[in-house]
Amino acid sequence: MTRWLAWFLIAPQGFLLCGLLASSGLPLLDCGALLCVFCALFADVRALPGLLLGSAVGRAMVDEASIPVQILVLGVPLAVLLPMRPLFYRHHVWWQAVVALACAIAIPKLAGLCGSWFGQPSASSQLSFSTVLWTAVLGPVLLWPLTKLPPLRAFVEKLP
Amino acid sequence: MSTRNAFPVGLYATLLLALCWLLLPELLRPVERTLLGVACLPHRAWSVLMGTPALASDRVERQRMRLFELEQGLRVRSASHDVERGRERMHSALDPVACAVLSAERRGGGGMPCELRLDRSYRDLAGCADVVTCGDALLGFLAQPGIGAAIADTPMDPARVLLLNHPESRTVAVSLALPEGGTLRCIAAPSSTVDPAPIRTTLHDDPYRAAKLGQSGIDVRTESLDHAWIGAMPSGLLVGRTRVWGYEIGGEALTIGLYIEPAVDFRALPQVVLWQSVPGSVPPRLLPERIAAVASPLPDQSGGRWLVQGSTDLPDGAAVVQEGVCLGTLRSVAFAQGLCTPFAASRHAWSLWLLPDAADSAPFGIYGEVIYAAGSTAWFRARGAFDPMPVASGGAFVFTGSNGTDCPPGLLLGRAEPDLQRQLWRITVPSLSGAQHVEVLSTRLAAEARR
Repeated sequence: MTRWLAWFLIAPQGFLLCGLLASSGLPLLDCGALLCVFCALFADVRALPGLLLGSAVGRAMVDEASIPVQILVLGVPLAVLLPMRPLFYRHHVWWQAVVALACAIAIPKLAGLCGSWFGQPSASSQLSFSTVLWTAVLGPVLLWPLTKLPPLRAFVEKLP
Repeated sequence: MSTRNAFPVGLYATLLLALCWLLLPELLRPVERTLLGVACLPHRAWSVLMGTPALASDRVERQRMRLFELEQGLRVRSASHDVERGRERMHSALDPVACAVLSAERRGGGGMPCELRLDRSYRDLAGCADVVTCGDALLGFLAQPGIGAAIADTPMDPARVLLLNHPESRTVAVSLALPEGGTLRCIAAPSSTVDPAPIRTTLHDDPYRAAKLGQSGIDVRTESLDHAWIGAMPSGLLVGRTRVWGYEIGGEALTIGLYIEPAVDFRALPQVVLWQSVPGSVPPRLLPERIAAVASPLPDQSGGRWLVQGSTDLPDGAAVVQEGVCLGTLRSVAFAQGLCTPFAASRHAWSLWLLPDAADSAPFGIYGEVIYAAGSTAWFRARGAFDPMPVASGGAFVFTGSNGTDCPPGLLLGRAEPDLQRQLWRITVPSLSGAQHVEVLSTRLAAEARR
C-alpha cells in the first residue's frame, strides 16, 4: 500500500521536475519515455496497470489530452515492448538506450494519432530531435540510480 | 520469461478500460478530476510557499483603458456591419437585437455545425421574429422550447438557433441571377452530412437551366412568397453562393447537384442578430460571473500551462481572464483547481473574431487551430481558404469567438498578422511569468444568480 501511495504522489511530479530542470538550462527529457523504459525492462509485470495509471496522470498534468488518451499513448509502446523483454536480458545499457529512443519517438507520434482520432490534440505530439536524443543518451544513466530509489525500487521485478 | 508475463492481462485490460473511458468520458470524469486534483496538490502547496502574486496598479489601469477602447471599437464596428446591414432587408417595424453565440453544436448538412446556442434565453427573446441574420445574410431560425429539436429545452435555457443546414430547419424560397440572363428560382433545403456543401437546392423552376449552370459563386438570395403569411421571409437576404457539384466528361459538365455554400462560416460566428417587434423588450445580456483565482505556472515540458486555484469549483472549458485578456481555457479538476492551457500551447480548435486595424473594415470570424508556437507567438491555421484581404493594410486584434458556454465571444486574446509565405495567421499573445491574479468566467453561476 505504501509503495502505491508513494508512486501516485511522486510519479506525476516527475513530469513537472523534468520541465523544471529544462527551464533551468538542463536538457529536456521525455519523462513518459523514461517511465515506459522502466516499465518495459525493469518493472514487476503485475504492477503495470497501476504504474501506467500513475504515469498517465503525470502526463495529463503537463499535456492537454485527458488521462485515457495518456494511458493509450504510454501503454501501447509498453504492450509492444513487453514481449521483447527476454531480448533485453541483463538490461544492457545499449538496450536501454535503444528502448528509450524508440519510446521517445513513439510517444509523440502516438499522441498525434490518438489526438486526431479522439479529438484531443496536444502540443506534445510535436517530435523534438533534441528531446529524443537526450532521452536516449541520459535515460539509461538516470534509470540506474532511480531504480535503486523509491518509489521505483518497490516495483522492480525480483528475478529468481 | 513466461508467456503470462510477456502478455499481461492487466495491461491489456487497462488499455481496454482507456478505450471505454474515451467512449463514455462523463462516467469516469469524477475519477479523472480526483486523480488530477490530488496530483496537483503538491504543486499547490509549493506555490503557496512561494508567496502571493503582486499587482502593478498603473500598468493594469493603462491596460484597462486600452482594452476598453478595443472592445468599444469591436462593438461599434460589428454593430455597423453585422447589425445595421440587415435593417434594410427586414421590416421597418423590427428592431435588431445582437446576441453572442456561445457555442456551435451538432453536425448537420455538409458536416458543419447546425445549431447555435445564444447568450440569451428563449424567454428573453419571446418578442422576436424567428429569422436570424448576420449582416445581410440569413443564417437560420430561432427554435421554440419544447418543440422539435428543442424538445428538452425550457424557456429559461439559452436559446437555440437552427441553422439552414439543420435537418429540421425550414426550407426557404430562393433565387439566383443566371449568367446568361434571367433568374432561377428554387427551394434551399438542408443537405445531408456527407454532402459537399451545407445547403442544397431543389424544386428548380427551370430544371434544364439549373442542370446547365456551370458556374459556382453566384449569390443566392431569399424570395418573398407571401407577405400576408406570418412566417413570410424577407426578400433579398443572402443565403450563400452556388456550388455546382458534378463530373467533367469530355469538356462537358454533368451537374449532379446544385448546392449553396453559406455566406458565413457557421463554425466562426461570434454573434447573430434577431429582430424584435417591441423595441426595448429584450433584457440586457447575461454577463458571466467572474470567479477570482490565482494562476501559478506549471513547469511543464512544452511551457505555458497554469495551475489555477479558485475559491469554488471551476467550470470545465471556462476562459481564464486577466484584466480582460483571455489567457486560455481551463480543464476543471478536484479541490477547486483547474489546469489552464494557454492559447499558444493549445492545439484544439478555436473560433476567433478579428478586428482589423483599418477603421472601415468589418470584424470577421475564423475557425482553426494553432499548429505550432514559439514562446508567446502562435501560428494559426484557419480551416477553409486563407484570406488575408480584410487585414491587407496591417494586422488585427484577436478576440475569442464562440468557444463554449463559459468562453464567450469578445475576450481579447492578442494580435494577429497574416504570414503570407506559410498561409497562416501569426498571433502574438501576452507573455506572463510567475503567479498571477486571474478570473475564471462562469455563465452557469450567472444564470443561477439571475434565476
